[in-house]
Amino acid sequence: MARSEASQSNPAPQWNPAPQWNPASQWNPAPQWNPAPQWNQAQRPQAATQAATQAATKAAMQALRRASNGDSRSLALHAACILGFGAIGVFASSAVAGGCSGDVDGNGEVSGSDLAGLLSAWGSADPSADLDGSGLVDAADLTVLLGSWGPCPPSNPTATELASVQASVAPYAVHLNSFNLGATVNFAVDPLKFPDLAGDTVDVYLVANRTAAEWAASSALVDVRGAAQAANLPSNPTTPNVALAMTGVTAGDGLSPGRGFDLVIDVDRNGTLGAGDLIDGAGDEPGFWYVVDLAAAGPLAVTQIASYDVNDPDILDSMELERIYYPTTIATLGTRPLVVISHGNGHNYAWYDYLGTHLASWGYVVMSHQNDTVPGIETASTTTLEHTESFLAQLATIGGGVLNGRVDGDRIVWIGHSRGGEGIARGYDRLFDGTFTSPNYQIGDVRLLISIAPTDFLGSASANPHGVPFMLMYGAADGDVCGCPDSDIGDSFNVFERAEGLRQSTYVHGADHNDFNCCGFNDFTGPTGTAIGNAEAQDVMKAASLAMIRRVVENDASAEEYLWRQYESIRPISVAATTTVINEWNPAPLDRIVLDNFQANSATTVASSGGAVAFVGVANEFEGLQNDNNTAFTWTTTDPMNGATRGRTTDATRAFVFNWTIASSIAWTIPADRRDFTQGKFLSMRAAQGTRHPQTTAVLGDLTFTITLIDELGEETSLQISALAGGVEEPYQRTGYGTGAGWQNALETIRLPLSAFTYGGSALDLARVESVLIQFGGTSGSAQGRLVIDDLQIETK
Amino acid sequence: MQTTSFMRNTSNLRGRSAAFMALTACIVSSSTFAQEVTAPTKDSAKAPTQQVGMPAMPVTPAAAAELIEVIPFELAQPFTHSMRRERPEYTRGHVLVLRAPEAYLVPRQVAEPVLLVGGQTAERINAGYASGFLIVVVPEWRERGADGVERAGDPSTARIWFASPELPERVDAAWIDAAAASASKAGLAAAAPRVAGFAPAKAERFENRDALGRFLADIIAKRSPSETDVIDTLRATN
Repeated sequence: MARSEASQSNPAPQWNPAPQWNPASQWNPAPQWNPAPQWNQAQRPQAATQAATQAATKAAMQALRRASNGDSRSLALHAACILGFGAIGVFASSAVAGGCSGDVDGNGEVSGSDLAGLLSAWGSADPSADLDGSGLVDAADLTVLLGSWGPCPPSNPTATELASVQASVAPYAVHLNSFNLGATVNFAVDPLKFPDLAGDTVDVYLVANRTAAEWAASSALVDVRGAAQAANLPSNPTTPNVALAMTGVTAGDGLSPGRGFDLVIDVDRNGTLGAGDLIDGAGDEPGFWYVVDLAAAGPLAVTQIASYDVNDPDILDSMELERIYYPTTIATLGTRPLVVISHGNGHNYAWYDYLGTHLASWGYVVMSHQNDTVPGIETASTTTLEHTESFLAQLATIGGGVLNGRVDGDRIVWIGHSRGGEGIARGYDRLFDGTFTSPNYQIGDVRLLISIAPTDFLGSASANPHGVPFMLMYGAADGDVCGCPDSDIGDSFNVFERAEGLRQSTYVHGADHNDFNCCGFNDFTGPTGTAIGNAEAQDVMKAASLAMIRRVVENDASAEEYLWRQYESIRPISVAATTTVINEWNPAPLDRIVLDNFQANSATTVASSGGAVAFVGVANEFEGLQNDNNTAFTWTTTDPMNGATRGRTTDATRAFVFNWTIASSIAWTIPADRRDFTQGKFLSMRAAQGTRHPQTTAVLGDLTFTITLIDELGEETSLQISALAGGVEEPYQRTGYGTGAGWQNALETIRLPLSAFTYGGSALDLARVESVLIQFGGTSGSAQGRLVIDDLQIETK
Repeated sequence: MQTTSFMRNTSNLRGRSAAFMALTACIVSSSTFAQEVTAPTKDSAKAPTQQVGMPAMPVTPAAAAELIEVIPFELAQPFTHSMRRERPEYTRGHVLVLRAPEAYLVPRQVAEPVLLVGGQTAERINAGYASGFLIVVVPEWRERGADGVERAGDPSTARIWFASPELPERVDAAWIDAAAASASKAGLAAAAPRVAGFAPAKAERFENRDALGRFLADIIAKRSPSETDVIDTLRATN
């Protein structure tokens, strides 16, 4: 959708607190309210009720016109006008009529449509409009209807998101689910979504997570803190957050790093979840999690078998050793997933104590094995496959049988480093191709691959994770598997891009290749003063791998947000605020609705989903394979994908790149079959700054921009991506491979909760989103920049 | 945490990059090794050329600096040589102790220079970059002499050199022949330089590869004692 320059330069949807704070000034001439599905029908924003009032006015005026034309019901209509306007007067003072007997159409509010329905039945005995049951639809019924004008009182609690983090820009409160132990946990009740609650004093209950069934069984509110927290709900929509009192509240829950809570706003302060109350966490999932330090040891003591020889004839005699870590109390834990660690070339199976011990302390059985990496990737993959098989076969003898019956062979995680990282991808590919089979496990038992800086010797067909969930851990200062432009072997992102299922990458500035083991060569390659050291890098690894394993293998989402939120927004407690980490997250195909991933329709003006794409002001737009086409990172116009080290010529990963120096925009028209965004939870995309481009080096900081959703009726809401903290990180300022500074393009996910687009009583209809508009420059964000973008989509989980 | 660790000391080899880089600078500037230039075009099969934090990828082909020991051995149980595509089994071979420049010994995830001994790929047992001593196993290979008679190759008199970077599992006889031709063209000596007083050792006999591994551990303990992880690993086999 093309927009005029005038509208581009004025991001009108940005919140203007002064005129909008007063609900009375919220007049919205467009009457097409569409309630967000998570709201109780009874709780309508003031803007909506004003729209309904407008509709009532229209209906009354139409009736008057009909009366002036000789309609026989002129008297009644005259009365309707008088009473109707009287009701409007009452409504403007925010009074809510009691009862709901006037809700003729049953839509949860008494409004103009009900009035119109009653008038249509005037003089008849229509029982739906005979509100007083007199047998005649007459003025008495009209009185009843007008007496109950407005939203119906809630008959149930309202499920809504409450837990929030402060944002410096609209929507000012972003509803998220994970909070670090010791960090501020807010709740926010949007005063424009819930105008009747603004300014009220309520009781806030922090309740141990209950399932929906448990809530149905008991509505009694029990605060884990011993007593509810009294709070005044802010009336100012720019300061909606209220801090929860969390003193003394513990985090973590057994083997989960997150302790789940449901959050209840007890409006009537009766100690019971009931009509009119608000709840975050009404379903089985908690409203939010309070999370311990993901890099810290878990709750369990760990036993280590330092060296176990599997003596398997299918494994070379020189590659048979394993180091095993398991919870000391494993006999009490039931069966636990198996994590296999496959080291890299010149590394040693004993170099991952930090990781094996960490994961075992969180309840996993971890086996690190000798890995035959010197010959190459095939031999490495064979070693991983065979060690997994042998380990499962020998549980009765390992450690005297302590693990027998305690390892869940249906839940296996493979972690590989460098050549071992590629080896596990190749191993999975061999299972996929059926060229390796085991009597002890099947392909479906391997639930997750985590590759640390994998090589890419084998290329597209063989170094391929296919659809299994995949995680990449990668240091930007890697001096070995370097992400260099002159070779595909050292481009770890190649393997990541081939992963077709849920995938996540954690890209760590200042971390080198051997920071992820104890004892490898110091290969740090980066600007002086930026090395983070192996302790810090390993904290990142411990935290991310735990979060991913919990999420994928145990369906525990308590730490998922650490895998996709900006690190400026949330980071493991142990990881320093000065450490830069870039997250990328893409859910499985069934959990996303692609708007544009640039994989089809190669014309820049057509999205992969088929909708039109229009540009205003952007320059040098290019869509193509994410493969730097020469051997240097020096910026040149003949290499628009400069810095892209994510695919070989045989790979398919494509993206879009452009730059801007003026107020600019890109607008996607959404195809009709994808306009219902209410199916989703997030609008997401991934983006990276273009390596060493003049507009990148000129900014040398996070890039921000504004995303606007526009519905079919022209209603729109805009959010600047900095609402979630941070922005698109500047490239790691590593030199080499040409002139200038800046390493490979590091795509990061920008994932905006769709609920944020309904802040402030927005009339945006998420069920009918016609276009997505991204605005750059001007007042929309960074004044200039070069950006790679990809995977614009709606995510449903 | 309970442990039953046999590990005594973990050899932390970090922090030595400066020394290596300095040494590497000497190596790569040496005309002795500057005999091959990496092509400037992108090649999916090649390793990156510039690794600032690691010793730069050294030029190849290049001769090993010195042959220190040659120890013939026999295995009662055959063992698979996985360092070449053909994956031959062997029961005879040699243990070699070499001295080589560190840039050739630093373990790399990207392809490393392939160490060839005559017509055979060598299996590196230790890393060697800290000590400069590299211990390798070379399975017996057959070669035809000038007299036209095929016989077992002799590492004591064979050319020992680092060929171009590649995964050994992708190296086959044809690749080795091409590498040998490249070495000859580069003027590498037909035999490795020997340490003063060099003399072939008597043959050792082992039941299997594990037993050979324990023998190798002793050699590494003597020549490159800081590599405790490798030593302990070799000794832990049964």
